[in-house]
Amino acid sequence: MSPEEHKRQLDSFDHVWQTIHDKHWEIKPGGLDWDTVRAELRPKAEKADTSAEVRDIIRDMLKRLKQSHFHLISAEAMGALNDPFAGDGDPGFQAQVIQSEALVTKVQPGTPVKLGWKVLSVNGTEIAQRIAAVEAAYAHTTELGLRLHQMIQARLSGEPGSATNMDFQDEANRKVTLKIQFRKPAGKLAAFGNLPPTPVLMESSKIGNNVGYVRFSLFLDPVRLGQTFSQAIESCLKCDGFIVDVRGNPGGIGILASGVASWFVDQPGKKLGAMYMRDSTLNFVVNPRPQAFQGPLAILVDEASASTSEIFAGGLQDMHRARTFGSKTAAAALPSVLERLPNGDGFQYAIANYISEGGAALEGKGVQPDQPVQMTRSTLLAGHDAVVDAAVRWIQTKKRSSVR
Amino acid sequence: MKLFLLTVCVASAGVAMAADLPKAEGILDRYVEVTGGRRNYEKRTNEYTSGTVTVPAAGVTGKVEMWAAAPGSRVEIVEMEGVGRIESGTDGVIAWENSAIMGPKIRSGLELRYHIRDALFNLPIHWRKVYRSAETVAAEKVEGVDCYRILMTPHEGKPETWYFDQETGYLVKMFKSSLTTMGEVNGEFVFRDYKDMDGLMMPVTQIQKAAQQEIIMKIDAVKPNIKMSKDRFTPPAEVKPLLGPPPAKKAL
Repeated sequence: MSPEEHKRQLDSFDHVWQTIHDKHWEIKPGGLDWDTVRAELRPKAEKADTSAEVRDIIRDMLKRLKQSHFHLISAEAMGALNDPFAGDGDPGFQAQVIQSEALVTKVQPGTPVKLGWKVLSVNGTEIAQRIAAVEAAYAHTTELGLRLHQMIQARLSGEPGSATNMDFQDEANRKVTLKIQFRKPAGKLAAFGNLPPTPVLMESSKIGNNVGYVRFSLFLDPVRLGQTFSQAIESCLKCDGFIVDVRGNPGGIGILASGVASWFVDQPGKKLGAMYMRDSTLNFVVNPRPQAFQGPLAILVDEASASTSEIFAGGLQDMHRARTFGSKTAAAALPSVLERLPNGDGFQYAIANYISEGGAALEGKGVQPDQPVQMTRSTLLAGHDAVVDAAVRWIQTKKRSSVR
Repeated sequence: MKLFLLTVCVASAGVAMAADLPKAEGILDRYVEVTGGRRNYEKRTNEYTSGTVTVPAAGVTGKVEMWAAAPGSRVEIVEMEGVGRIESGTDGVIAWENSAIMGPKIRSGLELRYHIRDALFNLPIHWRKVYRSAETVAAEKVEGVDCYRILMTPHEGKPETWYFDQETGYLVKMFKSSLTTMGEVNGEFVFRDYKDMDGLMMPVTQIQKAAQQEIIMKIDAVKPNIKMSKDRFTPPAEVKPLLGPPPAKKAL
């Protein structure tokens, strides 16, 4: 290790230590005397002969916190994870990584792609290789599912009006090559502060005339989201049940979890959980709406349901107001930051703790669905969304039991 | 034994220091004087304030409008891009809020009493209605100026710390806890850029730091004694269903 490289490594050690010292929600991070941790490990970093040794020392420091969301990602892995978004165009279908395969999980009318097809390559890039790279980099973190979701979304992105070649494996396991044209983004653009204007998809419908269904891609644009729920619930007050689908929803404005929950809570004094910072505690209180829906509520989640989605689903689950269906959420409920260190490594850290109403930290654990349901290639090829089907069956069961 | 002596010494030093400081009542009276005088405060029966609000870290900006009237009515409307409209208010009896994010709410209990208290019009000349004591506890440099630190103890709620500029008499800074929908939040408020706003000197820049966020409010205009309808302080339509039906009239 050259003197310059050694300095970069020590600067990285200092940056990680100082960040946790200044920004961790506990004055004694993880119950540790943080100065003592530095006094023990800094001399070891100074004596290290290789970059790998310093990285191991930094990882040792982070491991002592025994808290999720504190990770060091090597510069090599950061480079291998370069999946930039090419634009906000819509390819006309959605895909999800299920058991290490990118499967088409939703299609829009007019697209030649079918449910359950496997995405093999996009513009010459083998998707299996990308999946393997992400799995290798995030294997020991809680974020694997979320990162796989982000990778596939990035690979399937393009500028509206442009086109790209994609290879698929169809229902008969034949290779199909299609030139996919990117459409205008399906959602409306929403702006929030420093975030670039982002298309937010909101859709509501009825399943079989007696189950309300709302899906939205981000917890943004509260005015439009409020209108969507208001209209959906007004037209469905006597429905047998309601489904809120936050699969693939990475979050957004944190407190909007309470706002969406308020459409389904009719008692005052309820909360989803609390966020703990050094100087204050913020309760995610739910203000009940006068016209709240009071029937059975199902919330659909997956490994890409993160942050605000987890606060929303976990809180209503703890309140026994909703039954959750799907797969374990991203376990990324906290506001966290991923920044580059002087040595090029990535450093992820959280700045607050969140405890759901049931007393459990969602961070690193996620929301465990009450009813785990995994989509498979065979159910998708049969034209079914197994998670929606399970939620509808439960709502119908609730209706039958209430009739008896 | 050494620890005991040390404690006594520190306590004695504190008493001696406080004894040398001006009385808090005098500092508060001076604030009224330097910001326009009691008569000018008393002349005001209502005011309309407009300005801008910024959350720099999030890059969020918006407009703020406030209506306030004696003895203690207040409505505040904030419109922010990407957040929508947030309105809150009290007519001195009920207090409410309504926002695109959280929906409508009627405040109750301690939260209600805090909001009614904070809406007291012309607080500088009526502070005794809110605070049972005011005590000067130290002289220290705050925000780059020599200040008197005053401990304001309300009739209900946690004590607050106010800092007054020794030279100008203006209020410079305040530590105060507020009861919000999300719970008790400890806030730091900095008051800057005092300007004559139609007869009273007011800090047109107010910086609030709470829950790891900084919010900057800039006041553009203050219009006192305008025509203000009583309906100005009634809750919006979204809140009214939460008030419940009016009490039934008793048969004579």
